[in-house]
Amino acid sequence: MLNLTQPDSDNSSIITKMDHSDKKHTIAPEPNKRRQAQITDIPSPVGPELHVCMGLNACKNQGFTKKNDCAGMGLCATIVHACHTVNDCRGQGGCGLFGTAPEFCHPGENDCKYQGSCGSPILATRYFVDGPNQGLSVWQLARKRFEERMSKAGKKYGSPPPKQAYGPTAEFAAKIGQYQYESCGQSGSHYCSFAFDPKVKDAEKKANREAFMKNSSKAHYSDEACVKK
Amino acid sequence: MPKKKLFNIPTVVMPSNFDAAMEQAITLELATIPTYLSTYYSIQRLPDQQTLYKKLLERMPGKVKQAQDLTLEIMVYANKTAALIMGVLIEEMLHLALASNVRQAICGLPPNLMGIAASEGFKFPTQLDGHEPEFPINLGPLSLKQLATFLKIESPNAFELPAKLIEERAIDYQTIGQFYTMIEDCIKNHFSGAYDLGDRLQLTPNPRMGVYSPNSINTAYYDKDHKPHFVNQDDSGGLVEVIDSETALAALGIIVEQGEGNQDGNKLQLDAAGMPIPLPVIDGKVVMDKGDADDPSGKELAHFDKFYEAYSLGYYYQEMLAGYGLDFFSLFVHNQDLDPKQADYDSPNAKPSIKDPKKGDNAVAALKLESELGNAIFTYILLMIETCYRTKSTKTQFQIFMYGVHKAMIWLLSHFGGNISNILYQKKGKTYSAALTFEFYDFAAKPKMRPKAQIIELADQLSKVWTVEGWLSKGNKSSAAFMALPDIDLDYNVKDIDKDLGIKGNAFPTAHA
Repeated sequence: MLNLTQPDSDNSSIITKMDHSDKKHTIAPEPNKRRQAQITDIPSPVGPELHVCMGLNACKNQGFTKKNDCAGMGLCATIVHACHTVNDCRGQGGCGLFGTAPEFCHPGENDCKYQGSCGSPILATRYFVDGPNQGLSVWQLARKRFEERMSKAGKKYGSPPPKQAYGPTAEFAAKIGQYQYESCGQSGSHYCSFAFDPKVKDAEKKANREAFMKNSSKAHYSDEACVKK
Repeated sequence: MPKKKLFNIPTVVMPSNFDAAMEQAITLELATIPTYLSTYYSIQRLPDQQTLYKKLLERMPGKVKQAQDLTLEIMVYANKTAALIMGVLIEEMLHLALASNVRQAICGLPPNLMGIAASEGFKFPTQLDGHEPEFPINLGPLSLKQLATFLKIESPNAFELPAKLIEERAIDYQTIGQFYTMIEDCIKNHFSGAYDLGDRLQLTPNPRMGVYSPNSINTAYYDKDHKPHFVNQDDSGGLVEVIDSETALAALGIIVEQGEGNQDGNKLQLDAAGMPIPLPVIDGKVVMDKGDADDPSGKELAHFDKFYEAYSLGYYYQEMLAGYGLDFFSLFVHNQDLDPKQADYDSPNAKPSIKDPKKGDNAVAALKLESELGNAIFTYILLMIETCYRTKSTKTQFQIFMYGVHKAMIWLLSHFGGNISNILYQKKGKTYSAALTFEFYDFAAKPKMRPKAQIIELADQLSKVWTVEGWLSKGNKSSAAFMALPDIDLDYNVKDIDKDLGIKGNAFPTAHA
């Protein structure tokens, strides 16, 4: 069971903004698109509870904007990092794209600094590339794990914003001033379309994304191979 | 044809030379990594769709739909071929670990990766020692010729080069599979039963967290409908702890099966020029054989078949685009030299230039340092893997692999391998995109400085001469996070990782059951 507060975390960590557009080649920071920023540069102040995404906060006013009414109702992550093994603290692994099957079973539940799999925040389009839940939404499993933790602790929690029921989209993250890790790696954007007409391209992107989120919501998230011996 | 070999092996494997045979097996697996990686880095996985389309439409005026369709096919090919190569590369890393596990268990010796990398035979171009017929292996960009080399490396069948290409040489073995068969026979005949493992660690299927995954986002690609596909499968095999002859044979079996597939699949056939005869392509798809899979579910192609698919489809497009006066591969592959060297970059004739220079950029220093840093990271990865077999602590081993090998491969080497292509240089009157050279970095040349400190120093120097690498400066927290590697000296002494990296709490994963 994780302690959902992170007392040894460093709020003033310098973080890196990365652009994971589909023009990206390297998985490491693409230099001409990166900038350095203090986490306090992000428009909305963050609270002391550090978590990896929307709806994963354990307490009232502990989401990205500090204006959520209840646990589980925060709008986005309060920590930002780029990828596997560069998280500052426990519980900060975003999961999905780099790591191992056991890690992929526990988004936001890593035990320690540097043990996190993948970046934070976890946008709605992030998917597992391996393990028993390959191809399914990372955020939806992260939320499931959160609900399991809260229920086990006998704590109440609310729902994430209804329009973002499957996790925050890139547009939503941009709107509230959060970083947008669509996907990281060299294979390109998950829901990007190859259509030549811009309107068709946009429509296909949206349809691809919505189909992915809905399919994940109907899927059974397997715990097979998640239980560590 | 290069004369040097990775090293010489005997023609038979016996208990007296078993150690040498396993050293060669490890060398074989290690030698594939730079060449596959270098070719991978040469691919622009996401070429600009509109630029590509315009190029094609220029050559087929008025054929809008055909040019659009072909654009997408080329984009999918680029992304998929890169994913296939990365999928093979990940499994080659697995094979390196499996071969090292066998050597550790039976011979009681860790892999000598630093020694292999420092040897003359490891300088590219090289060739698979003992492979008959011989053929050169280089660090070239993606091309039909390069894929042909990959096919020869992974070929399940003995093949013959045309007489004019064959050099006289004693036959040691003809395929990697045959070589491993000799090792397997020796184990069956002379090393059966349980092994005394002592306190010697192997890289094993870690029960708590695991260190091996067959897929990452870089083994995924998207089809024309933008649906993701994964080139590797969980059921094709993973790490095996070698505790007896049965597990030793299981480990070796994975190496052969993943590499060459089973014997019912496609075989390598060469034409008169020594090039593979491509498989048929129907409706834009390569006709593969049912026996080409290497896993029980039949979803994962063996290395040989992954490359045969990429080769055959590449051949198909190359022929098609030649009809329009276009070179297929140059549409999405960096123009990289076959065997780039640090000396090429350091030469006064290199005259490097940065593709998108910023004020204050120093192309000469940037090329030198980016390449040196790539070599230093590659060499340090080998040092870290070796140390995983030398440490007596499972926690230290886990931390070295997770915080060191993973991070250095996924982030550092990959970053430098991609970014260095943004520098052009001259060699013998031709202009090339720079690429990593995968040369042994001699940390011992600075005996008073630990290897990790040397890497951080190189990164800091690079940050001062190339704007886009400014994030690597010593005072930058991002740099600190990405350079937070375990600190290992050349004598395999490991600094206290928890203390050195500021790790508090439970540094070894607990069960989530």
